[in-house]
Amino acid sequence: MSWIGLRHERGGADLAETIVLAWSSLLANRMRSALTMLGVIIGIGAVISMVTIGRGAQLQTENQLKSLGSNLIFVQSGVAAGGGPASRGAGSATTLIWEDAKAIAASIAAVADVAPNLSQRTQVVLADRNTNTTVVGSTPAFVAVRDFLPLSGRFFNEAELDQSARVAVLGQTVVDSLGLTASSALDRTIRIRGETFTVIGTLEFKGSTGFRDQDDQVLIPLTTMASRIVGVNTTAGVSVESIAVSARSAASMEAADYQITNLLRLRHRIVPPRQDDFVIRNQADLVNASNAVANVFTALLGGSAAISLLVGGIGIMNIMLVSVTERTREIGIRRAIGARCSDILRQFLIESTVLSLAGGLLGVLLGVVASLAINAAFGWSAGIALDAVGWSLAFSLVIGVFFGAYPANKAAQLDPMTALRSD
Amino acid sequence: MLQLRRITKAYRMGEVAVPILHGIDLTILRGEYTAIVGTSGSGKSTLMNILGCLEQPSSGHYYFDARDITLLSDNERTDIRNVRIGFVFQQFNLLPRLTALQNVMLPMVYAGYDRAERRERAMAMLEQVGLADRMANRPNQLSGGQQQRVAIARALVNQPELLLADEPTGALDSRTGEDVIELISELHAGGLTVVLVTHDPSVAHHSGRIIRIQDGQICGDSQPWVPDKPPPSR
Repeated sequence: MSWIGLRHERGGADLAETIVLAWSSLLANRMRSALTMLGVIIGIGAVISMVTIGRGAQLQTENQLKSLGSNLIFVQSGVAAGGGPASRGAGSATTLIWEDAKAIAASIAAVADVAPNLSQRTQVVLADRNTNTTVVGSTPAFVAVRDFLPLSGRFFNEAELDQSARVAVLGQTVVDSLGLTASSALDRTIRIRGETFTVIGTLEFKGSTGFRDQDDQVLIPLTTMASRIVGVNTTAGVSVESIAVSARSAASMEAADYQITNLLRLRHRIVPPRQDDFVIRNQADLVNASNAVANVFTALLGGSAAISLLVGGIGIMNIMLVSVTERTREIGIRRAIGARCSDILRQFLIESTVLSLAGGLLGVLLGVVASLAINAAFGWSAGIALDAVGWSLAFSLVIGVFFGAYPANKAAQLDPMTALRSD
Repeated sequence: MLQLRRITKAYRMGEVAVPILHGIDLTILRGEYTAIVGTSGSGKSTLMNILGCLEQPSSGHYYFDARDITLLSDNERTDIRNVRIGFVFQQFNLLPRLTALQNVMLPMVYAGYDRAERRERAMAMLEQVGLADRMANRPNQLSGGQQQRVAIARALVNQPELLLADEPTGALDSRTGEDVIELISELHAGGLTVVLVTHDPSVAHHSGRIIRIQDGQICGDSQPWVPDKPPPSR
């Protein structure tokens, strides 16, 4: 007679039945199971909502960077040739001049509009109020390049640029700081560095790019800026800090980038081994840089949430160990009437998995509710991190198996007789 | 059916080994009703656990149907416990959270019967031990005698050839104890091989053969097995 084949088929209790059994033994200790699950619930909920926050912030930054204008390329004055090992960084030398901007606009086909930019932080005074802001000298092309339209009044025109007119267009933050409104600001007289300017318009609201407040600036004609405020007139003409260039389309960005580089090298007579005295950055670079930051941010948030998930898993292991100890006698009885080690292992593994998966499902619920609340509170449209939902459910399954394995194995290895004798 | 050859058992208590059984030789035939009696500490329960494949002897050989149990794997011994041996304990050892019916179905779960068959056979078994109206009760809603009947039903539900009962009446009053013994006698009459451990002489007298154990050795056998004598008629 063969000993194998005593049983009808291996597998014994089917999976659904074991799950029901596991669920009922968890219900037998309601409070304890709930508290244990709480660790996983909070962990999963935290992972999902943290990833949602990270993604939301990332999307927000991306949108704000796009609000700078479309297909934007920034040409910045380059690295000052200090002759030493220390670079003073981009913009430390005023190597670009207005003529460069004019040349770019005139000779490069891939370029739509060009707005040179010369700025300085200074005090702006209106009667008894004053504010510290950035005064920017530019040209009427600013509106087109930066996609920055007036909210009230108008932008200055070419005639005013030619005449070095003392007119100013205020950003909304400046309007607020001076105690004005978009309409009441018009035709007021403000003083910048002792010079009087007439406010002819205010700019639309754009918000912060995360780097600086785009509404905290005052626009005046470049000519006026150069002659009255900063006064950097080199022999070659008006120096500018940067030139904002908009390419004709997203596809022509690279061409524009390349052609501008060549044109400026020609104009600045740069031949190897001399380095470029200008730096070209495009919007994609900025978006990439900010995405890199946001990804680190998301990883940090998600990572710290994952740690709480890990702690939840340890909680499961702890309670399963208690459960095995408490139910030693039950294990002994089951072994005595014919449960194999593997049957016991299975029973406890499924129990811990059910515990952690139930926690995972409730955690997903918590995370989704929290994500919706966060999106509503910040006005984000990032939605719920669905992939995080999937991952955390899979992770909670893994946690159940991983942290259940040790207690379940301990239960399975119990000697039947020793287990029976205990109480 | 069962053959023990020079079985010894010693428990390790820290550094010292405490011997319990000192070389037991015993043969039990199919259809016999054997009572093992002895004082507490004589080693009769340990012997019982070895017979029930719950414990492994320290040395010696245990043949179950000519198969050496001591050479089998844990899984094989588990399957023997599951299907070929029914074990009844002094303390019933029912699972408190399961109903009588669920307790009886449990060995069949591990034997791999499907749900409908488990249910049907467990119900029939409970009827046989006279508990048809108590199937949905949990152990704590049953009297001691009823719990022991559930335990017997559980022991027999996989239709084993051997029933081992370790002080089955030990936790019962004398009247319910008698009922249980009567049930066991009926089962023996139906063809089951029975070995029971007791220290109650009146219980032992129901059996056809009484083996006395003292200090881990057999010191008396009312019907010792002699190789050339034919097995008692059944």
